[in-house]
Amino acid sequence: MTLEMFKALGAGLATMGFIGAGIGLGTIFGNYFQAVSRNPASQDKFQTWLFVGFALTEALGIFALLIAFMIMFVI
Amino acid sequence: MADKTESGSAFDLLGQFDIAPIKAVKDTPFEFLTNSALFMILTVAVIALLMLVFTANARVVPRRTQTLSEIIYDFGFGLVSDILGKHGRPFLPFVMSVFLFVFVANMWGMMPYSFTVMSHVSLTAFMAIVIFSMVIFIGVRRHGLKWFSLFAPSGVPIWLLPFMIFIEVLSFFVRPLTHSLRLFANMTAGHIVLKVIGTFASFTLIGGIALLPALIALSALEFLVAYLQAYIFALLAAVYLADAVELHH
Repeated sequence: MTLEMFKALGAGLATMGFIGAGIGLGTIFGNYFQAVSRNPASQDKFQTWLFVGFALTEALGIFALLIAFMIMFVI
Repeated sequence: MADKTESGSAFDLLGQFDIAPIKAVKDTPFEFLTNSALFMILTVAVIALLMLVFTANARVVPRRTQTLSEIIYDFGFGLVSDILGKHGRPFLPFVMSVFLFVFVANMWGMMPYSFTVMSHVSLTAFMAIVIFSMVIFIGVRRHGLKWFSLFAPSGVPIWLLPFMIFIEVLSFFVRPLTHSLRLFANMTAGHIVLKVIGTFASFTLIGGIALLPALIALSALEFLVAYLQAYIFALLAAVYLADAVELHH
């Protein structure tokens, strides 16, 4: 096992942070569809904030990606 | 298949993002042009065509080209007035410019043999830092030092306040980081996925035929991502600017 191999392993493990982002995105979109199917008139009202929530949740996954990049290219 | 991977050319996934001078303009006054610069110029050219040429001789009853510009304008107007309200009108040109630049650049990136400008973190980070500095500058200019009460949420017990301020400040300062990385990571990852599937499809004839529907579906998804990321980039710029425009407690 060389350092390069451990780096690749670590970067791969670091992307596991996306599991949480995936669960969060599923919750956000699932709840949005529930809200809209119960009250179709609310679609326009929620749509903008749906994407804000989407972006903020995805940001946490992006931190994991950042760690993976740092392991591969910076350290 | 094995010798192809060993030679390294078949799996050159990041080669499509290399910035290189354009060979066709060598030894001419335009020698400074790189593929990145060229596609940024093309992006601005398309926006100028949409927004300046199509709205010249504007009429009350619009023709087809003018209608296209009006649809784009309505979209940006709706976005800004949703988030920033009445006070946000001065920021409409800025948010529109950001959206159109990212969107058209992403669309150019979807052309075969083109260059994806937004796949470089240097550019997206620059844009995010400009927006971040704008928020601080406008906030302090409009509200003075009172603007810093943004970091102290109201209705919080006093013993929790230092902790809340720490979290608020931290989340404020990672904004440009996530803002830029989101766009960069999505564009880069999407194009790498297309390249990987395309490379697999090119190995054998049967594999190519079998993977064709997947490739078409992925390209369609990539167009959606190109639009969605441009929308989110502009939306977040508007959300961040809303902090500077109005202090609501």
